Amino acid sequence: MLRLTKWTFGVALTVGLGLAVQLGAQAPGRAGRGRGAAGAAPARPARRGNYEQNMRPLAAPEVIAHGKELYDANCASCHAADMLGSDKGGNLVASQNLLNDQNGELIEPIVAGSQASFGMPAQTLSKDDVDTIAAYMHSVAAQVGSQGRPPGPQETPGLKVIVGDAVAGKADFDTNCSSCHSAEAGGQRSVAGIGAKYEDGRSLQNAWVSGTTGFSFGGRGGGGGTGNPVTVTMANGDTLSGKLVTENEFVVVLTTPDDVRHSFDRDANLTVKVTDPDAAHKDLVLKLSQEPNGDTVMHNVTAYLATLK
Amino acid sequence: MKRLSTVLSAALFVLLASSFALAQSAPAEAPASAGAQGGLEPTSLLKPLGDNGWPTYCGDYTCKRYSSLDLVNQSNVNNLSLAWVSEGLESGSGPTGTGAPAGGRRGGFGGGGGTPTIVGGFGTGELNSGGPARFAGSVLEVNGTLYLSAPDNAWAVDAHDGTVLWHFYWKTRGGTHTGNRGMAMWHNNLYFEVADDNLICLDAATGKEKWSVPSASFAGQYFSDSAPLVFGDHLIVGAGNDENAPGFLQSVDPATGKRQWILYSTPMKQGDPGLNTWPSLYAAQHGAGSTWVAGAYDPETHLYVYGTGNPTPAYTTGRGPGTMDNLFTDSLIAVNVDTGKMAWYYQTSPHDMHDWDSTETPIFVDGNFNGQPRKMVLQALRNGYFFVLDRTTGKHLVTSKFGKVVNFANGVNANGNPIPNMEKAATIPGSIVNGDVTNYPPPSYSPISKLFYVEENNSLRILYLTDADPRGSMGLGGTSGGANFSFGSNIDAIDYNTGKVVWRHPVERNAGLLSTAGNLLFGGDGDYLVALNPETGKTLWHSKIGAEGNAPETYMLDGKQYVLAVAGNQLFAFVLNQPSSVGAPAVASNR
Repeated sequence: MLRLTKWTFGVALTVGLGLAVQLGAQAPGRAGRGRGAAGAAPARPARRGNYEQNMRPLAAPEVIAHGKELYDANCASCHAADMLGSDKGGNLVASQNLLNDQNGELIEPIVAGSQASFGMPAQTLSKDDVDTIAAYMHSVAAQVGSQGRPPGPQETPGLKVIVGDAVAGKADFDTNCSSCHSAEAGGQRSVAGIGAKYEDGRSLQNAWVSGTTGFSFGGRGGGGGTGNPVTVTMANGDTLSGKLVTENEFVVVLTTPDDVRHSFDRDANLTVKVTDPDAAHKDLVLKLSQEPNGDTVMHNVTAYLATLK
Repeated sequence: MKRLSTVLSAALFVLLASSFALAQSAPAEAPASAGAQGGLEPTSLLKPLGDNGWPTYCGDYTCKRYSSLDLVNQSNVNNLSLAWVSEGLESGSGPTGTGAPAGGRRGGFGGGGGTPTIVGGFGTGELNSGGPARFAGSVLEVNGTLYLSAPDNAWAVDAHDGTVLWHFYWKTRGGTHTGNRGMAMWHNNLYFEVADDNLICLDAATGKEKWSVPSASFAGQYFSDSAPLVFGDHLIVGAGNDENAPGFLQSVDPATGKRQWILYSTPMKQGDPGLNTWPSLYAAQHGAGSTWVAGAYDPETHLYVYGTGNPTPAYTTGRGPGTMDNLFTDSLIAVNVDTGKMAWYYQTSPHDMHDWDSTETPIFVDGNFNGQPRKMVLQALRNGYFFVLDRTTGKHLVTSKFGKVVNFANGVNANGNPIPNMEKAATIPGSIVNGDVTNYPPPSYSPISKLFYVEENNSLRILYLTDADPRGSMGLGGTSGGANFSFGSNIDAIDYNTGKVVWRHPVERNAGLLSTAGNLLFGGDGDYLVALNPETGKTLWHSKIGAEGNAPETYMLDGKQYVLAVAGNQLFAFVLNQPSSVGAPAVASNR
């Protein structure tokens, strides 16, 4: 179908041009932007949304390349090379004028001075040049991501997540963690070597704060309790132990080690005891969340654990 | 009497609306004036929720979601049984709306043989995902017919037995497809918004499109999903946008869709109030404050009270220091629906750094406060705080924290506004901070218990700043979360006099609440629909129907009180399985 063909063409163009813009222009010089080492940002999708600006056909590559030259020479000093603005000029990627523009018709009057009272002085540029710049700007706006995320990599490179004091962190570890965890190799629930296990500070911190999920001691995910050890005591005193499947006000379901599923109606004669292996971690997070220096304690422990290579 | 003037203005508006409709040479095939006669009279919307169906998003203008129906009550709720389950609520896809749904679950729209599908929209159908409908809004019940909407789709359903009567399908141009919050009705017109920014007017009897008008700029990356609201001759329409664009609310003529006024959520020009709470006019003009959840209306003062969403960039710098409030984002706003002028505002989350998006439904309560009669507005917010204000003046009365682990603020100031703790914003090494406590799921208030009911979700996580650009990020960008811990979810009952939580009932999750004169509180607990004792929170009845999409509702039909819930893509209607006591004629069937 016509629309499908156009759409497919548009995607191909977007991918191609997106790459061209990125490689050719070195991802228009956003100071401090670029993919971080943390491996957080996924590969950029071919099409970052299905709004008009993401889907509209783009100009030919040579037009866009020329538009970028003109933009760099005439606009970038105020609006920044990446179009995201500076003290002297606003963010153009989020500009409703650009988003609603088709072929430069909404940009021409602004360049001619219609917004001089807002601090945008008139520029001496031909209509053709303005339209060419608009074509380039649309190619950048096409890369706006979901929920308005800016074009380009989503993470500033080289962010220093580990900022804590490792010495203070050892003391904090001893206070908050050592009743369950040893720092010695082979010790109780040892954290020895944890600093080498995670490639970046954020992953390390997320892992030790969250507990079993991060340490891979058990298979449970999230905070829902599924998979936690459970013991059900029936009216006659018999007990059944296994892994929790579901627990609510009305039923409790567990699987015993032989992989058999057991369901019970909840009533007063049934006692259910679920063990949360992360209970101590939850308690610690709650405590830290309410203390003025809680984040500092967390950062210090992270800095200490990072030294345990 | 103020009441009289309301009735008068309502009568006047019928005249005006008719002449308006006649004046324009309507493009519709039906006579132009047909839309302004019969059907649901706007004056009937002034009635409190009860035996008049469920004619608006909240059921009535107060948004209490309290029904005066009491056939189902504490003495017989244990006999509440399933009357019917709907079938065939499948979203359309493809050029005709009958293409195979995404995932190939079943072939075509199974509306039950001969159900008409009416197609509209400016797309081709390729971007419509199809499949089981996603419901996250209110269902209207008017004269025995239910009207409900999902993104790009709307249906009429027989309220007696769940039969689908018609299906309207909109071929989308794209955009953000979050949940559609529901429809509005004015005479025989139905209205709903679609994600690609159109307000659509349908003929309620047939589902045929009468007209559509742009509700916002699709090119500007707005998305529209709020439930429109009818106040006399005003149809109030909101819009969402996650990119750095200004939020706004507008009023249109329900007959034609022509704009009557627009009120931006942020200052748009020099001299606008609130500009000094932004670092620049540019930042204010791009500061968001979306309007995607319906609010409450006071017909005596003509004030519509609604919440505005978060500022943008949502999580990063770019909106000045923490002392800049960024008005009028995250605020409760009272607007005069006749003029579009703001009467008062109260900011519930100054300088929001967490996407608190304070649009949650406010509730109007007339009652005693500190021994004095007050007209109040109550609101519980995503940031975990509960507020009581005088709804005529906006004067602050109560602020309390109902989220158990909320820690993003350094308490509240003398005016009750939370003071943001900037150390609890997203930081590069991470800060431990609470997550969303509630969201769009509608709260309820019972005048019997005098308690306010709302879901409470407790969680903490580490919030990281990933975009350290000193100019800030855009939209909701620039952050990531880790180590999320749930501290449990509850249905809360809050005493508005003190703001204190009177009881908590643990639930897996909840999608909104309904209270009734039968002294019952209906809501969800995970996959269960439950009825609780509103005074104590004790469970009185339950039925497992799947995860609910919105608050349960209730309506009266042929002598029976129905309790309606939506779970997955199905409607579940419950009635008492014994003959009711209101002298209904012999029941021919046992449905």
